[in-house]
Amino acid sequence: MNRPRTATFVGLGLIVMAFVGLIAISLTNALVYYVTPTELQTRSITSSVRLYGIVEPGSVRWDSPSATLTFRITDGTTEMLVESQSLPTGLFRDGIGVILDGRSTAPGTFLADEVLVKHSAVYQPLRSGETVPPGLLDTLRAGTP
Amino acid sequence: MPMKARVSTFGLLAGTALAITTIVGLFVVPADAAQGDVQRIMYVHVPSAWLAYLAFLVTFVSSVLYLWRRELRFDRLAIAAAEIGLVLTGITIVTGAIWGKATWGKWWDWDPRLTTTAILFVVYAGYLLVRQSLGDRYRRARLAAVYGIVAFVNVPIVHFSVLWWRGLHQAPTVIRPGDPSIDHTLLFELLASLLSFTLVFIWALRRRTALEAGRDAADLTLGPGT
Repeated sequence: MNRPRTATFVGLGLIVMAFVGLIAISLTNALVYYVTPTELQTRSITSSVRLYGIVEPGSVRWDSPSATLTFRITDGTTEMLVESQSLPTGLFRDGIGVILDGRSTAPGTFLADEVLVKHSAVYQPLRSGETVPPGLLDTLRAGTP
Repeated sequence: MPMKARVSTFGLLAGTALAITTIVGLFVVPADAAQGDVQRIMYVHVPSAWLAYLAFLVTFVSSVLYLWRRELRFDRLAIAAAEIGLVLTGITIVTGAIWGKATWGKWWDWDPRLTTTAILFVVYAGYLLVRQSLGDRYRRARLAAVYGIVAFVNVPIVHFSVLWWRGLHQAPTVIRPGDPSIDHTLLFELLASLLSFTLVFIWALRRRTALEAGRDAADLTLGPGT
């Protein structure tokens, strides 16, 4: 059996490269998963968008009567005030990354319909006798009458 | 054809290793200080994902070998590995969803890592479908080999998706330059779990390849000794 091996492998190589190229192009241009506060402001995006930032330590507030969570996020350059009635998971805390679904209602403020907590990929064990501390949100909610 | 119901020494070893790492992972190593017990899902999620990569690598290499040597034993290895890889990808997706709900706040999201993993799953499900649709044994092996080679391009895309594009899924903890950003007690259990998953993988791969060999031996259209 005689087979055109070289041609087959060159053909396969081309298909593979085309495939990788197409996926790379489509994902980098069309699917920007989130924008940063700086990008949001410079492009003045007012439509629905996904925003990523780090929760500024000490900025988280819980308003019990209106069941509203507010906090500031930053990308190191631009700060943004976030308001949300959707509550994040127990991992939500000072200095953690969050991905927000929503839109900018006024310059510098963002109304989030959803608050997702991005994991830091850092893992530390509990020391013996320790338990996982309650989430920041639980603490704030327990602290308000 | 009745199969002999026997437990091999290797199977016993793999099963014992898996049982031990499961018990250690659930009850012996401490929980993560920030996430609590839900972090233990990692000991299943990460080895499943890595071994799915390995499985598809086995399919890739044996597909190349089949096209080169045209021996059906390479094709049998390719299908066995692809099937196990598909199951492992499924386990990765399901365990990831459970962890994602507890940690991120969402079961599923069209994040680049999750999206490319879903594509990976569909592509290898397609591999099994393509095989099923081809009647002739050699034609099936030949086309499946081409498919098995091209499909592998997904694996590096899945792995690097967290570095190439912005997303929700965290970047690599272990396979990255420098020291893994995981405490070494937890890392030890992760690697122990990886080892036991690898043993189970090898056991399953051998059993599945033997099953395929039995099918080929029973196929009267094939010549003897394939």
